[in-house]
Amino acid sequence: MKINPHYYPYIILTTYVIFLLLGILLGFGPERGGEGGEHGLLLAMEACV
Amino acid sequence: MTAKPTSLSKSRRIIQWLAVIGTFVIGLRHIMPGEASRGGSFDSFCAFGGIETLLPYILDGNVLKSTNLLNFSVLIATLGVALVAGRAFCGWLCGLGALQDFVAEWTRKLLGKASKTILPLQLPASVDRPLRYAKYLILLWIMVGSLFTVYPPLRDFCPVRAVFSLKMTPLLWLTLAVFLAGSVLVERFWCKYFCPLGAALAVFNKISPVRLVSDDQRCNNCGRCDIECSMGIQDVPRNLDHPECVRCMECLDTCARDGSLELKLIR
Repeated sequence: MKINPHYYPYIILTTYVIFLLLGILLGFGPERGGEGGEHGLLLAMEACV
Repeated sequence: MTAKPTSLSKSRRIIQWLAVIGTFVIGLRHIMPGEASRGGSFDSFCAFGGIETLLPYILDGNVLKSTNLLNFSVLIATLGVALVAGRAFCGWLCGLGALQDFVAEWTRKLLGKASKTILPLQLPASVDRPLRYAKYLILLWIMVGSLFTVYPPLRDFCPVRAVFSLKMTPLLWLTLAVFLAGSVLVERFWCKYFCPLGAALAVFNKISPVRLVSDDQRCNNCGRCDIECSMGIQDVPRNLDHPECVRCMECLDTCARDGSLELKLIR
């Protein structure tokens, strides 16, 4: 399917924002302090189990 | 032949300037007091930081110092763009890529007409081709190295920090000098040879559904797209899914024959 090239910047920007929000909704948001925290995937999986 | 209403190149420049200013603002925020209380260091806004800290996070449950969970969101966003449009992040949204384009443009303006015969340098294929694999080795080295370090392995000589973080060390000054000199001499010097994020995104050029398609019947092989390609891809119309392509769309913008290159959604 042909895409109008003028939509290309909007496609990129919208995709970026959607996936950024998705990441934040998945729990990968900013943390206070800027240093690493102990919130690993393994710990999360352990918590689920 | 109908005239094209607006230039994609102009849209790209605007977005690139926003990316540069945005990254610079994050750098300014970084040097202001109380950074730690505002939720994340300079490094935590970096997509590649997410790759650097990925293995330690999966294996130990900890992220490397100076990175944070936000890195993963920025990485997910970058991978999302890559899934849809290949390395478009490099061509449109990366502050460092933008700066290299600006430096190349300013150099051309400064040197005037003579610049075409002087700069940018075209490295001989015997040097250019093997050097292009350096970024993949750097990516591998960083992924392995991240398991043995406290801070992200690239941190001490990361050009993004050197250009934007405003907290300089002697090593970062050296990185800045090499980066600027390289960008003056060779177009997209860092992207072509050393960027590990570009290496990680390269594979997506082969699978992304939004891509350029060439019509061999309409293309007259004029070579304008080859000249415009900042990544130095040869025979652009037949290499539109090349791993080096940063999807900047300059080839589409410069193409004079309607329908020769078209942006399509491939299913």
